[in-house]
Amino acid sequence: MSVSRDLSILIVDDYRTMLKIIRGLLEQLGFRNVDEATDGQAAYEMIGTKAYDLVISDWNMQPMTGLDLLKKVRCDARTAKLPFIMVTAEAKAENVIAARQAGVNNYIIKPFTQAVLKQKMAAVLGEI
Amino acid sequence: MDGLKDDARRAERDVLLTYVRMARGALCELSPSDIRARKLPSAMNQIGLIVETTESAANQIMDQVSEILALPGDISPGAYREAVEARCMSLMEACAFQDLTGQRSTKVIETLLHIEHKLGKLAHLLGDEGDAPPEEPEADVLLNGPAMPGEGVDQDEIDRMFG
Repeated sequence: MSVSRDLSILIVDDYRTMLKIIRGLLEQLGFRNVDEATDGQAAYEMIGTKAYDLVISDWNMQPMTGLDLLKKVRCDARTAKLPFIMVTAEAKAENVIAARQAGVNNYIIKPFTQAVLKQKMAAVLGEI
Repeated sequence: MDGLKDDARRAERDVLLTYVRMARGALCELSPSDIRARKLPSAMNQIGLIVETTESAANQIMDQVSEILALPGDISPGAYREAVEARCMSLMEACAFQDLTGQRSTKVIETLLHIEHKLGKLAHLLGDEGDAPPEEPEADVLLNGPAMPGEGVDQDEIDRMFG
């Protein structure tokens, strides 16, 4: 059985073009319940007020990075298990390891295709 | 009389020495060899990659548009829609170049601000009465940014790490 298309997804990126691209790719996959934030701080506040099923976040953002957002999410008992995918241009092995140690569920390198996004979402959420 | 002249010369020499030492210190701090050997080549590589990335994105966009325009007119509406949607996905993916080139541009701007700051400090020390030296730019707004060719890991390696 494939995952519900009603899942609530939060996408976080400081480039509005990237937000549009990810939203467009998600909508093509049938996910229309998508919210946007342009940095980790704004995303963390949104996570505090709404129950999301998945966060797809960039890393390099000010004032709060995607890694700091991930750490805060994992430290909060209410969101500790919230599925979290990092989508970033940061491709150094030590970055991937740091994100993994902080509890990221999957990691996508930019630029990426819809097929890769779908595959990683399936790995985290189940069949799409 | 001669003693007074000697004192004046000594004082003048001391002023000159202090000035030369300050200028030498400022030149040293400018780290010209680091700028030439590391910062400028890195900035030039980033600009080269910006050109490559935009060219590749433009080609991908043009190819997809050409394919849409070349779709046969006698296929079913369903098949036409499917073909157009697939190419629209590729168009959307191509637009990710804006994020990557934006991050690379930020790296180049960081280098230029660094050089501007160092040159401004040097000019100020050498008595340039122009503007005050610019503020030291914020160190590395980006973590690493997009990897340079040959650096970093690719998606397959990451998948193995998460396997």
